[in-house]
Amino acid sequence: MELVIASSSIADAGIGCWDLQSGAEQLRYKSCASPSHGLACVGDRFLASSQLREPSSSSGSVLYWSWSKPQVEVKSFPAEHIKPIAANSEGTYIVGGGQSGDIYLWEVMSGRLLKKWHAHYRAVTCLVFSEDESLLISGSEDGCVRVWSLLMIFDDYESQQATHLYLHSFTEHTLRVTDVVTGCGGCNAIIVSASEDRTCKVWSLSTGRLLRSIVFPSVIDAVVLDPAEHVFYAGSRDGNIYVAALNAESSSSSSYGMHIISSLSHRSRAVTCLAYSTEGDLLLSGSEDGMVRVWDPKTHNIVRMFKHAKGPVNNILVVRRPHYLSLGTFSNSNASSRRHGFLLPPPLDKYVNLTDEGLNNKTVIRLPTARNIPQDALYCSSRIIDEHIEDFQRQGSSAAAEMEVERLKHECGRSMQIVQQWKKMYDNLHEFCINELLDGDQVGCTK
Amino acid sequence: MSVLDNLKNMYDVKLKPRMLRTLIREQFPDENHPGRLPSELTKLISLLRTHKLLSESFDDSVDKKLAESWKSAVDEWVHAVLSLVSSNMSNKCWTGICLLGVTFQECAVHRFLASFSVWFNNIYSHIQPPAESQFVKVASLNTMSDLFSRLDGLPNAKRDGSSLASKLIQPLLKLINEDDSEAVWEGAVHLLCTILTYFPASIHRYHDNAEAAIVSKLISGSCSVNMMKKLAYCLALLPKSKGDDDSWCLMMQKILLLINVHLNDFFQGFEEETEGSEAVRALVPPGKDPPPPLGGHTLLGEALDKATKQLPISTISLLIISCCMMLTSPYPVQVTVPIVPLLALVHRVIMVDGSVPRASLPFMTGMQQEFVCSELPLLHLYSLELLTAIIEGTRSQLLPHAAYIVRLVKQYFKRCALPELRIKLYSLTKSMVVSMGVGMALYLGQEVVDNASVDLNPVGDDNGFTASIPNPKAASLAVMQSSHRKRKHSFTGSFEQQNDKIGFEVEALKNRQQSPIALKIAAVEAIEVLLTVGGGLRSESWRPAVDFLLISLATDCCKEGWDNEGKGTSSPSGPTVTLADLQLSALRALLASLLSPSRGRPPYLARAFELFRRVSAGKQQAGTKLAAFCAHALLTLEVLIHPRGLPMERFPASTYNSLDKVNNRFPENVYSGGQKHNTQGPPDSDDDDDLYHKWVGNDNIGEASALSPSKKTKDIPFETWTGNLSMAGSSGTKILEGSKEQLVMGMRSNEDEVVVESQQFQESIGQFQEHVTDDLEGPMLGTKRTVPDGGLDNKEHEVASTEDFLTDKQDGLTNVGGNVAGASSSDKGKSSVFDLDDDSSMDSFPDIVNGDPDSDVEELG
Repeated sequence: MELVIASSSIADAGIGCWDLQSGAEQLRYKSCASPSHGLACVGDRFLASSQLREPSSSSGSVLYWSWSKPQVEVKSFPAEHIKPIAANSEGTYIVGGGQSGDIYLWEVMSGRLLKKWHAHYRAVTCLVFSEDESLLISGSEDGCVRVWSLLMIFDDYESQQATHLYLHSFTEHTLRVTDVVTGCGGCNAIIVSASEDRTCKVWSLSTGRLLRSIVFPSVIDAVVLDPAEHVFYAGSRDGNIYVAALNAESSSSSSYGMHIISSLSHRSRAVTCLAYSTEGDLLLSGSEDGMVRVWDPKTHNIVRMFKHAKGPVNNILVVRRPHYLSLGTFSNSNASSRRHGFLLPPPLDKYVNLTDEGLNNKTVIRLPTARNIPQDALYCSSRIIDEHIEDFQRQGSSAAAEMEVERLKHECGRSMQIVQQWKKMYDNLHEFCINELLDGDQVGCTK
Repeated sequence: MSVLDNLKNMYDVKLKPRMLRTLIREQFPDENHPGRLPSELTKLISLLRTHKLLSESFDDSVDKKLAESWKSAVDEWVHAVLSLVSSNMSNKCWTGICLLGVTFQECAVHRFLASFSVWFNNIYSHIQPPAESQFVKVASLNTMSDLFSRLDGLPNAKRDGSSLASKLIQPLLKLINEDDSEAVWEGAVHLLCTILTYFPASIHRYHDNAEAAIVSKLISGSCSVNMMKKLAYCLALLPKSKGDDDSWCLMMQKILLLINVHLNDFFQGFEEETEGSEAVRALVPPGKDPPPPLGGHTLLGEALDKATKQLPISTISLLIISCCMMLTSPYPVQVTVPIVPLLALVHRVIMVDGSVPRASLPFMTGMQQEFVCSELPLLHLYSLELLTAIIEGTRSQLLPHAAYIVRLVKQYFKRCALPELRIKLYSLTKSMVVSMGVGMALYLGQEVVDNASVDLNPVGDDNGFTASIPNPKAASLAVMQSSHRKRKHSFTGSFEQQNDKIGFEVEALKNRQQSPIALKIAAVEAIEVLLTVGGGLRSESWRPAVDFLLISLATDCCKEGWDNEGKGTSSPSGPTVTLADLQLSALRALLASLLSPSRGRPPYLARAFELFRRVSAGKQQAGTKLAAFCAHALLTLEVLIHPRGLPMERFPASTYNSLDKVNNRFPENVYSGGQKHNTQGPPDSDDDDDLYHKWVGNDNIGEASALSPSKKTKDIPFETWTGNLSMAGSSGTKILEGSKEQLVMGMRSNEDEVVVESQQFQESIGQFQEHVTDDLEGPMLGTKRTVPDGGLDNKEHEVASTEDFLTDKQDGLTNVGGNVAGASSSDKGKSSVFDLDDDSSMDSFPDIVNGDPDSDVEELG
């Protein structure tokens, strides 16, 4: 059961939420004007979005919505404009990219700003976690794509030693980076970045080298990978979604250019965002005309459309429906989500707090709630019987009996010895008494 | 009654009531047979279980009479059991209680729901009276626990269960406090744990009393280790009774405080005086009141005084275990973990190694030092356990502290010499790398590899090193295994050369004694995880050494024979690790080293194949884990050798003969890789490549005709290509002629190396050649086309003419061929995707680079 979540840059459109399978609209979350890459689902528990702000306002804005309520529940105001945000799959961290090129990393449960570092010379445009979430990949307006090891970021000692914090810095793009995605394969994954210089570039994470550069007819704003990484899809400003080759043989006859195999087009306006549904093997695209289109990537047909708003859609997420949300309706899930302890966390801090030592010493964790002990292991009556029988048999066993006999023999020997001793003592005493007596008699006689 | 009919078979429902009645009649201890041996009880229970005699489950087809008969039989059973329970002979009473416990587990749901409160009262009466004999008490406590276990699975009995449970708590605590038999304590604690797990709310009111009871037992140190562990577990579960963040944190804080207080005494003179007070300060921030001591104030005076002198270590260890359990067992709400004090505790413990600082030397008696040293390993072990639990419990949230832990682990690796501790340390690094991914592998890689190479050393010096470096140990081994050695030398001859290249530090190792098998296994497993997670990223410094280490380890431990599994030296103390375990983990790690991304072909691929094939084919190993694993390894490696680009079905373009990543993305790479290897024979990389095309083509014979679109374009390039190829061939290296047939032949000559030896495959190749020359040449050879296509189709970058382009390429190739003529022949092959950018290959084709759209150079220019 997957949900499609889409947001727009226009505030009154809000965040739309549909069931991908049935197409039924769920709840519409209000007052969200998100920038591109500014929508995230935090660990299946709630939605978070950074907000477009007036240039004059001094702080940024990140809002939270719980699944069950259309109103904004938690508002945070980071120190500067935050555009892209991303959360790790467990929902423990939110990272945000600032206008100044700084990246902020917050702990969700406590809202603490754990780290802030200067990542780019100009505004950060997109952020994405690697497959195992130990690396963070950021793209920037200065055309740079950088890979960060989060461990290194937190390691004050090593980061002071190192000349730079990043693992890789890809500088081949000449204009603003519009999207970055990464594939599977752990440390051997690829990174695909799109830029306003009309190219998409494929990078190797393990070597940090450029593998392929593909020139498109128009600027690509969104990229998504085929799950088998056979191709990738690039949503362009001319309204086409180009299919570009990764593993696939690149066709020479393509009219679009080198390595571009084909395109999915619907004469729509610019494609602004893409997502891939793994469950249904579907490609989702968001467009400037406010529609979310669902494509079958095999046949290139549109299988479903969601109307989001008049304004442009600029974020699409495909998320699993959280198990505690009832199937039909979102409205009465409030109580159940509360019971699951999913109250929304506190707002995100503005600054790194170094003074409160007590807080820094601690971390909030979620322990597993499920019991996964096999039922049979719990019953112990028959075990008790077996143990008892074993005891019983052990007592009756020949080895035990033999040992017992030995012990008894030993005991008997010792007792005999003691008897002998007593006897001897008695004899001595007896003799002594008799002597005394006789002596006394003799003395009496002599008297 | 139908019961008298013949039975259909052993699954017949009719059998069940009949059998149950027979059991009651004959096997049951009754007045006539008072002193039955309990061993018959086992038989009775196993019959009940196997035939599900109490389940009363049947489908609707079973007729009513039969159902009735079964029901009444079970009624009889319950009646008989209950009458045993109420017997005043303790022997019979015990039997009855145990059988009642089995009934709880086995009987139908509706029956259980209908009568559980009656049964509860039956057992309850045996828990209460003090005069009851001990084993009856134990049995009733355990049976009671079974009752609650069953009750938990049933939805509508929650409330009843809770109220019953709360009735039990006080008698239970009384038993723990006042009874003097350990078996009874154990039963009571077990029941308490069950209640805490399923009906925690019922203990809410008695939380403090329960804590006091458990802690006093724990501190008294008067129980066995097992019992202490149960107590520690119970203590860890206790916060559940309140089920909120605060009580969990408070419990954790109290335990940590107690541990640190104990440690202050124990480590006196072994560490800086300030350590202890700092640890306490981290727990209780200045200005805040310390929490009440664990177990309440009453305990503080007597118990602590007495206990610290006597048994501090076991108590500390068990409290640490309690912390571990708290961190890893389920809890209903999120909790705040005092992560820094926890880590500080680990650090504090493992940094004490029994050495005495100079300053406190005069105050230390030899006996005191001896005592501390004797207890330290256990304490270290539990601290590592705690660290593992911290990693497991906090998972991704450990990130801010990960670097600290890494340094701790690295430091400890240097100091730690006991095998048990090192095993634990390896498993700790394993869970760190797995839970924190590539980033952690980057940090820990070198450290793990260094240490593992040391721990695996005897393999190193037993494997070909003898020839180059005199080693007394290996020499003595050689006498023992002279028969083995001969074979080994023929087999591992090449290692002698490699040994020099890799520069394995044999010198440093040779004086160490052989590590126990369990330690080797732990080390190999740590390497395996490291390769799996981070084998491809910045691993250049350690990768060659590890690859070599693993192949030599695998070869070596598989040499000693296979038949150990199952018959291994089994000692009476439970399962032991055998050579078979080491073999298995060595082979697993070997597979990981082959699969983990690297540049170029894994250096020991052929040898590994040989090894896997030998094991999986060996008759003796049939059915062992080892053989199963090797079969799996061969399957996995198949993909390495015949890579599959996974096209979507019905993908519109002509992707059927799509190549693997390497060929497709970076065609010229195939050449460079191939030429290197081709110095002594036909250009087998091309053949290799070709083989693959045919292989793919063969699979697609049916569809091939549908793939015409690009057919025409490819004929011409192919001709020019082969023409050029033969030109290049004439200029030095032996390259095959332009004829397609010979292409195929050349490929055949090389296939043994490339493909898993299999008769079937050769046959398919054979068939293939026919197809090749007949109808299928188009699609099949078309795949070759990618080479020129790269240049041809690129309209944006103006390449001269196809022919020029190709000749250039060929010339370049011959150069490369010349340059690398001396390179090892094992270097051939499927270089990884990223070899494109390999500098050496770039240098040799300046022209092509300009024309090639894939390279970054062009983007820059």
